[in-house]
Amino acid sequence: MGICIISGLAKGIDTVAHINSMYEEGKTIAIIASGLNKIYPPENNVLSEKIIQNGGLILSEWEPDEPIEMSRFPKRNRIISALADLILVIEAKYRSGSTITARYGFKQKKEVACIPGNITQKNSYGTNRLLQEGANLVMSTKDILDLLGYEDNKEVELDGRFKDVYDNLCALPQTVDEISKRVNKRISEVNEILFMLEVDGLAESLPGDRYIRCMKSTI
Amino acid sequence: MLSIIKSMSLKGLEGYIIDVQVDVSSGLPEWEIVGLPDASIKESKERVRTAIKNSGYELFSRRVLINLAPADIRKEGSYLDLPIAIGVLFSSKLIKNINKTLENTAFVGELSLNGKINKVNGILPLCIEAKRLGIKNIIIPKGNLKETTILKGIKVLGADNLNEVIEYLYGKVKLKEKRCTWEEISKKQNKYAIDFMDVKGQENVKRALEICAAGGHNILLIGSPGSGKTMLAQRLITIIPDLNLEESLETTKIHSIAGTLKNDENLIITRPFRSPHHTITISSLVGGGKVPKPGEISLAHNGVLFLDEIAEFDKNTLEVLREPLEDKKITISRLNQTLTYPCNFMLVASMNPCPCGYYGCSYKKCTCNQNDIKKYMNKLSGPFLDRIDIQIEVQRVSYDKLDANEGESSSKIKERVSKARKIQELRYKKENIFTNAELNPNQIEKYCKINEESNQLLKIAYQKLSLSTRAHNKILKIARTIADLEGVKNIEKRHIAEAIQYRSLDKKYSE
Ligand SMILES: Nc1ncnc2c1ncn2[C@@H]1O[C@H](COP(=O)(O)OP(=O)(O)OP(=O)(O)O)[C@@H](O)[C@H]1O
Ligand SMILES: [Mg+2]
Ligand SMILES: [Zn+2]
Repeated sequence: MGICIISGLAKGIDTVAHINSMYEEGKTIAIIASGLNKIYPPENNVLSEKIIQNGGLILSEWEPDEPIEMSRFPKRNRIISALADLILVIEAKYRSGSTITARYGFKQKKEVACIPGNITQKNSYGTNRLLQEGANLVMSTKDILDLLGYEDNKEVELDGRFKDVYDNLCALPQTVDEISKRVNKRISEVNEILFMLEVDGLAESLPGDRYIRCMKSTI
Repeated sequence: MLSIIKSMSLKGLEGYIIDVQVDVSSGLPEWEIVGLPDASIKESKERVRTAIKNSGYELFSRRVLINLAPADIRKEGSYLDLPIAIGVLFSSKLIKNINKTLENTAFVGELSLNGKINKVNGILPLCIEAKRLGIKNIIIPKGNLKETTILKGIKVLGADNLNEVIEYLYGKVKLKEKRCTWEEISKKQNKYAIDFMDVKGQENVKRALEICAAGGHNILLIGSPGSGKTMLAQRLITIIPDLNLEESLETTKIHSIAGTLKNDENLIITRPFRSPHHTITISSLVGGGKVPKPGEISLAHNGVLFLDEIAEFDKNTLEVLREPLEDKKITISRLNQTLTYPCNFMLVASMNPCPCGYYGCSYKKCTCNQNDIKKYMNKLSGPFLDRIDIQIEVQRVSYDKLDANEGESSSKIKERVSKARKIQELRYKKENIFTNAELNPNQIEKYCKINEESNQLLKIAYQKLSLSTRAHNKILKIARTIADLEGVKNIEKRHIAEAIQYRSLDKKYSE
């Protein structure tokens, strides 16, 4: 589907976001607050190399050897939000770095979205507050795709075995073998179903014997 | 004195009895061979003369005239050495009063200068034809005995050297005989050293190959370098039902002529897998040469011909394959003769998806533009593609799956294939064909009827996926095979849907 995930190469959700983006064969961008030769945290050196190998990008506004300076981290977030179409905050404490990114997003007239949480939970304070300030509340992938302008996939009426395969298709290309394993059906049946889905415009076959769910972008 | 010794000659797979007539008389010492001999036979006089001398016989200077009858058949090869030598010995009265009648006995074999009888090519078809023409005994090089062990109704005797043959004629020694039954030859349990079990993952391609084997369909594998195309193609022969005696003989005959039998081989019991390089000449591919020899397509008879990197083959080379693919035999015309070899093979072709090799590959980016890709695909001419029923893409199996559980064994798959083949054999009893792949348009209409629902599906498929109408009959044939594998009488919609999946090129690469 070609959605690029941008984050800050920090520990925690940043790292998860970069890794999973690559795992799903997407491209990812990391924006760092120091020089390109000074990766922080150091254990993410490997990750930064992986990102490049996978056709991604590491971006910094500083000279390559600029040292790590904690006070520059919040300001760096303005670039993250500026490059993004949508800023999604998963969890945020009171005054956490991600709320800063989100506020830059508001200023830059970007879509901001948060996953709501229990009000008694510390990690939800920031996100709930952002929601109060007008961020979009999202609860599913579909919510996110809607915000990005991907056409709503009309609830398709499919009979059992077709639905099974359809539900296991996604934006990530999968081979017939992979799909067959996922739905635990024989190759012959998966091929039959994939073809029927394709004819109905619900699946698309890509070169290399791979299939994706059909998603027509409305942008 | 005149003597007449019988021998044999081959024209393709057809045999002829040759009378080697030798007359030795006093006169100027000279040897002359007449009766359409080729250069290799003309050379035999020096070999024969020396072999006789080194076997302990003195040939005084005499005039030797050798006539090979009938004179209208071209004789070639060195296997007339032995009958010529025997004839010369008789005519010179160096051997006489033997206790055997030579009425129904033929001799074939090349002589070394020391009198040893060398192995020659084509002995199996020679012996089979000799029997058909009423020969009762045939004396051949001992080294060729193995390939004849199955023959009944003709006594095949192997001789090591000229002296042994002479002693045999005097009744002093017995020549070696070897007999084996088909059961003994074919019982070898694990005939192939390779198995589908070795291939991890690739279930989709395996399914396509199973359909190929079941219906006799030709297949094109499209995939990036290292995706396993060669490995998969090699294993197709392991899931085709075993050769029966008749097929084994047909295949062995050709390999006998070509000299490609292995030393320890009685008959060929494994289906041949031939993979000529793309630089192969047309005559090595389809057969030919000064002394026309079977080509790769005939050596693949009853087996698989694998054309790796099909896009690299010369267009003209592929062009000459069209006829044999259709007729299952090849006619080779030379200046002075025309002969025919069978070539009933299954074709497996492989190619990269694009010039750089990585179009559609999930782990490496393709660097070609759409135009390059189209041009690359167009290297395969339409008429050639017309002869290929199944086209499938091969994706490399990722490393974590390479150590996954073993897949199904070839023998399991072969069981299903055999069942499907039996169904076809029965259905086509009156049609003189064996498999769905051989169906002609009329027969398709008769045996591949589909219901309205399936017909609708096909119509939609043509529109939405812009399938070429050229694909129509192929889809029906593949669907027929899928139904046969399932053991159902009528082609259902699900069979059609699956069948279209195996027309990758039509689906994705056509404009
Ligand atoms: N599915 C698989 N299971 C086990 N081994 C595999 C598999 N796929 C590939 N291999 C290994 O990779 C090697 C390369 O495969 P192979 O030569 O068949 O690929 P290819 O597609 O023919 O490549 P090329 O285009 O370079 O000729 C094989 O010899 C085999 O060892
Ligand atoms: Mg190969
Ligand atoms: Zn390419």
